[in-house]
Amino acid sequence: MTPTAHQIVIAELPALLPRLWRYGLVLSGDRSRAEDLVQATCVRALEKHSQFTVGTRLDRWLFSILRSIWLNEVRALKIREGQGFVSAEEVLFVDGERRIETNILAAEVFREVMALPEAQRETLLLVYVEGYSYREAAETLHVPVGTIMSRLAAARGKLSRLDADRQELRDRLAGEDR
Amino acid sequence: MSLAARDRPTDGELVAYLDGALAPAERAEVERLLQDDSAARDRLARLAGGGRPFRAAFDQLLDASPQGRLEAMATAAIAEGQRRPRPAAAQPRYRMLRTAAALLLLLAGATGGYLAARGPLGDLLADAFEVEDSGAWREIVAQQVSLYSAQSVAAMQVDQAAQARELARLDAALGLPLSSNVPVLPGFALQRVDLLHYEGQPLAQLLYYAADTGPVALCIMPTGQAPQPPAIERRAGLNLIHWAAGGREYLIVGSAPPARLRTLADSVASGLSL
Repeated sequence: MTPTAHQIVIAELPALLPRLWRYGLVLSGDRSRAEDLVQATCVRALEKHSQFTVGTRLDRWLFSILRSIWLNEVRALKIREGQGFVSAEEVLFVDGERRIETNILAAEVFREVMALPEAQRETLLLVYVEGYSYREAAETLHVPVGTIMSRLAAARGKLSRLDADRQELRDRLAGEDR
Repeated sequence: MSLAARDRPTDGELVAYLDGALAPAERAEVERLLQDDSAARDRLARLAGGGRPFRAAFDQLLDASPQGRLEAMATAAIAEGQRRPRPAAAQPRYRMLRTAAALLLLLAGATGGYLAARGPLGDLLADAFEVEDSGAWREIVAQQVSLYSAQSVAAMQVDQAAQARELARLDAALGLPLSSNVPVLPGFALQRVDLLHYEGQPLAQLLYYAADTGPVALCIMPTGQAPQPPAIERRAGLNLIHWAAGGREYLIVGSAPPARLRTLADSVASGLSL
């Protein structure tokens, strides 16, 4: 017997929680808000399980719910409160013992990405981390494919400038050493 | 996407080239353009320099997630869902909170960021994809309207003076005399009037309420769209009827059945002499 939408949501939701939290973190830049978003997403997904189409991808559906909650509810409150962003260290070095080489690189990438505008961060997450095609990302974000391309180009342009700035700083420091 | 008409690829196309997201013919065309264009090759190198090990870096975040607390939340939500006799009915207090938050969004006019995130390059490319994007605003409006609960809309305090001021703002933004000719939806009371924005366009939203069907929103946005007869669709669990006239798009959305929406659309159209 084919499982119902409700059974699928209940069975598959737990494994998707870390990815939902990560999406919430990229949108909100705040650990506890990311948790709130996951919680509201769980509640909404179970309320509206009948809207999930069996045979489609549950992760995409849940991402859309989380995003809609973020856009419609949480972001408005956050703008009012004017809260700042979490630092990369705060997210990645929770226990202070995981300061390993790969983690330092990850923190650097995370810091750079979180400095981008929200629309670019989110597009980059969906395409480069979650592996959405341009078209899938466009459908999820309700924008044209061309907007996905221009957001990725803008994001990569900025990250590339950061590289150039760092190189210039290194060159200058090397010059002072001489 | 056709590159034939241009002599240089856009940054977006160069990123798509780097990402392997172009069809073979487009890829060959970009490569041909790059051969003769050193400035484009420089741009390509710059965009390539903006790559990072995104997936590896962000996968580290999964381990940093508060797994135990998240699982507890999901378990509680599942238990709560099974305890409720009617799964579709949200807890009243939570509903109120959500509606309050949605209203805050309207009041704050917080439509920047996502809605306005379209640079000149994006605009350029967006033109080519205009057809695909035509329903996006209706989806967003439907999602927003789906957050209203019938009780909270019914209980909205109607401030006539504030409503008149807001209608006057709509007149100016839309070029329609709404304040002197408020759209009438038979059987519905006008509860709230807001001037919102979508991708830089003013978007008028009039929220109505009727006891038998709950809230219904009438939205009007000037888009320069060619006239279109009314069409019914379903988004975010709600029924929609939309049409275009006089360079403006009209939308009525709510849980009212399609036949009722058609009656409401006729009433709005004849009231505004569309």
